[in-house]
Amino acid sequence: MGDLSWKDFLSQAKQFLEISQKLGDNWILEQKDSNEPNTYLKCSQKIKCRGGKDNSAELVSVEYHVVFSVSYQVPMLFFQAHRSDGSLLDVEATWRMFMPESKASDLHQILTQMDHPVLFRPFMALHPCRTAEVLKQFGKPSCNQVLTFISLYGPHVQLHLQNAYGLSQEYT
Amino acid sequence: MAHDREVLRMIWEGQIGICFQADRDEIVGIKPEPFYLMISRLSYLPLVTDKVRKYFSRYISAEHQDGAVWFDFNGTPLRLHYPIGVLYDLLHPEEDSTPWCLTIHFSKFPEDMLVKLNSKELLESHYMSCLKEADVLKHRGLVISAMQKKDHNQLWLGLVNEKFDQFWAVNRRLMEPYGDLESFKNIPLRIYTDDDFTYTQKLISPISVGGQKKSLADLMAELSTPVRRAVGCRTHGIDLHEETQLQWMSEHLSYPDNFLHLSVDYKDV
Repeated sequence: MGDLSWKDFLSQAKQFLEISQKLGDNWILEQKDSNEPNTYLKCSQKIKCRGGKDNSAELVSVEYHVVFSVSYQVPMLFFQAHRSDGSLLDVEATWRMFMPESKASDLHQILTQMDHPVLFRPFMALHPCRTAEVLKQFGKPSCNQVLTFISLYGPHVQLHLQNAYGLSQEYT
Repeated sequence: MAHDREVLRMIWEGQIGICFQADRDEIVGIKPEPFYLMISRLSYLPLVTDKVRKYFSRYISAEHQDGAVWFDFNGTPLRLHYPIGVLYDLLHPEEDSTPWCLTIHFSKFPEDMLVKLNSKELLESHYMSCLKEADVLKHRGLVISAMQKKDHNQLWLGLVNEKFDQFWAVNRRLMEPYGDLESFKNIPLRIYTDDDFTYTQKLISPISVGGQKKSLADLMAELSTPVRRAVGCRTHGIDLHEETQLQWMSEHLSYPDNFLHLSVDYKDV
């Protein structure tokens, strides 16, 4: 279990958002209502992926959400990927495109489809079991766990932050 | 206690009568008779409906034979990863004692609404992630992570094969406070207030600030706001007495995923 409270998540998400705005990045804060955990960070991007059944390159639209987990007290990364024809990538296609090197048996414990905790619609999610442990491994406690989390977990699913995020001295 | 084991047994043996009917838009030729089945409240639709699928698949076209199967009740798609008892308690009118009528579909899976669970492995993966989440709340994840893979398998197979003793031989360890503690750190809870399957989660300790064991009345007070008061609570189809202790509820009235799935009624103040 992590030590990030809901209030800490909110304030750190807002700090992250400020950095994003300064850098001209496209993160936004979505607020469904003021209840926990109904505010989350969101961004979208298009990526070119190889991994269709015929291994052809494909342009995919991905929407990422960073949502607070009440149970684990850590951020979680959710995403949905759509093809250019609007169809949703299913679990197998998502695995092929985003984690082509991983074994299927491992993927069942790493990346699966589950209900988004705010929207209650199907999203792919990186499992949060070890997030708290990973975030604690830093010698110096992170001043912004949301930023640290996105930096560490995002690249596994093609979400990369500009290096400039790390140069914002007041937050790292 | 022996009496408490009887409670576990009764919860385990809870069943729901379901009438499965075909989607008339998918039927080729003669309309099939409905298929009636008694189903465990604790299980999941994909686990217990192989017979139903085989029966109805004879009446649909070849192109839909391999389609992802899903179910609806009066137009509401049912979440395949929710225990059947939870779906029933949320959707089935209380006053209606006839079998629950569900429609089975082999096409047009509503991908934007339902998590797709095409394989038993995906459902098992979902079940294990619920267990881990529950244990993180109760014991900081220490009990589930100390278990071996064969223990996890035994929980899953006990559930799939509806074997009470097999399941509880392992689940017992998840239902004891850790070490010399008297209670869980937090109670794994999912609180439903509407019939749309959304739920609320909160960190709820079973012990009050003054060191007393909390009861359901205490939980309902925590869930109440100045404008909306929690007035009733049910799970497994029964209304719960407000003096019931939360720790006891968690140990004895949880589903096999180790969560208390509670429907809470509110009244505007």
